[in-house]
Amino acid sequence: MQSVPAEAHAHPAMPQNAVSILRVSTKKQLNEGEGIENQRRGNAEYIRRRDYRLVREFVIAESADGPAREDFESALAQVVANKAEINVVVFWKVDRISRGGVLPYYTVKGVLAKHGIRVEFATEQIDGSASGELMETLLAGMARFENRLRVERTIGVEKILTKAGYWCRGAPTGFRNARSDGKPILLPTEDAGQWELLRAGLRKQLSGAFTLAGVAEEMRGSGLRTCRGNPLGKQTWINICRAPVYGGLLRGEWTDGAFVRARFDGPLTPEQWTALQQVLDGKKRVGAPVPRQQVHPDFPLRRFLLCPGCGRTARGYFSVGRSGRAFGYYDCKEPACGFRVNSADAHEAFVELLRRVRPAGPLLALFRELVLGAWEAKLRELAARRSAGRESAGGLEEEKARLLTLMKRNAEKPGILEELEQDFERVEGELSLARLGDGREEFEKYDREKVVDECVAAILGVVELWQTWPVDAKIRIQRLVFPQGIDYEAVVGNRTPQLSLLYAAIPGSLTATSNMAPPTCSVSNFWLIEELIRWYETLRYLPGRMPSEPAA
Amino acid sequence: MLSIEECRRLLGSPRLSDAEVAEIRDTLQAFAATLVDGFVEKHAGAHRTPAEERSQKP
Repeated sequence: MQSVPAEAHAHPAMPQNAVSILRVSTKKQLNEGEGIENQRRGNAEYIRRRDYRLVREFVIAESADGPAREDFESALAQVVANKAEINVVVFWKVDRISRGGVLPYYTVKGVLAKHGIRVEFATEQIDGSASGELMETLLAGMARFENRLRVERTIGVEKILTKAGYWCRGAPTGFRNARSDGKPILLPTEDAGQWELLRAGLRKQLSGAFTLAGVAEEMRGSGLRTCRGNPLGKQTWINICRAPVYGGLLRGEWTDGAFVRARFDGPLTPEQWTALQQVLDGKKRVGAPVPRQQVHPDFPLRRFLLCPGCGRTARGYFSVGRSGRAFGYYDCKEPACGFRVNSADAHEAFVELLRRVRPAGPLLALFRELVLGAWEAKLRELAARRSAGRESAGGLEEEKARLLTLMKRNAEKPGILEELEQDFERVEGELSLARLGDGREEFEKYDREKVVDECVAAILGVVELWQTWPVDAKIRIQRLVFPQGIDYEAVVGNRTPQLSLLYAAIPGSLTATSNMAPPTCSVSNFWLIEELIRWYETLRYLPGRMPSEPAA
Repeated sequence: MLSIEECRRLLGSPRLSDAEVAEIRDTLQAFAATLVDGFVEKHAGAHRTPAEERSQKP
């Protein structure tokens, strides 16, 4: 709303008071082009010609087709509230009232008429005759028709562009709008650090070893911001993970539900993005939880060893002898099988078997190359974190100091103190993440080979890990190497163990003591590695349980 | 990221299909990234919780 220039009031002979309402569709149009000025000139000229007295002018930047027209309704309310002083409302054209068709047009006009206020138009002469009424109805209908036609044309063009792989919307988080040969595409945001963080977060999510909430929190702590510059929330992160554009794909109503390869790349490849969806849907197995009944620290092979007679999984239990001493056994619940072995003997034989399990040499060669790539990517991510972290660390330091002061003041109030301590922990956590990138120079000093060796050691040291880690980790290792369980005869070397397809696809990883051909295995090829990720993730946060630091 | 052909050469398994090689690569890639994360967190001390860090302060 704008005040009227003083000279506009200077006509003492004008008998009727008029309000001028100027409207454009968007706020951008307020400052661009001649839209408002053109309307202002037209209305002023009309008011002068009719000898009206302009008492007020409203300037509105709002669509005339939306369900909520707050500014327009507010202007009408002010006109009605001052109806004693207002005789006529002047618009430039019919379509300035509404583009919603005849009904909203006559509704507005009816509301004003009820309060004795007329509506007139600066450029469209509508009188009370039959032809004037027809013209009015036609103009109101035409306003809606024009609007719909424009929308249909716009959508039609955008549909064609989207189906061809172009992007016709505002840039989502991590991207910026750009043009390629005059057509709209997306490019990585100019802040390379943000792009690198986004990519690192999505890859971390793709590993299947982290929760959505966990990665979202880490990304937030690392300084990843939404396209509007706000801190990243969990729901936004879920939306990012689910949006095909982050895999260089487009899919939606405008592609008729089909996936279209975008004319630009996302942080993930289309294949990686598809795999990410499988991980999020739970369709790509990344390690099932260990069944509760299976977990007993003294019987890690319970429900894993297979009875050589019937193939059922073995039980594990203590049997107390006459002397009162307990002996551990594995057996088959079917007495007719007669399978019963001492648990210590079974464990010893199993350790011997694990000693012979080694990932194939070619697999390790590839793995080493990939670790090197991952290390370089990590260094870039740390640099991005450092850049973002420096900005946020200052604020977090201030918050931490403020919380410490409050904690001292409220030391005698346990309830308040507890809440403050929780806040303090949260801030410290965010601060440590914000500072993580500061160690980049330190990490750059590491010998790349040392990093690779440490990672390879984790994949090689299965037998050492099995002997030293907790029972649930033992069970995971077992399932990792022998996903179908293992026949006791195979444990003691009388049969060839049943291997995963990964080992079958790349032979040479296990030297069998038998000439018998290994049976086929129905499990997913790469379940093994996925399971490895899962148990590694489970264990690496346990104090002293890092793969390179087996528990004493 | 390594190309399919490069991975096939390193694996020395010409019989593996492109899809199989890609799956091996992607899975190992994810595992490598996880291990590298663990390396960094272990050496940066960031794997400790804030409560653990505070408990070590004098």
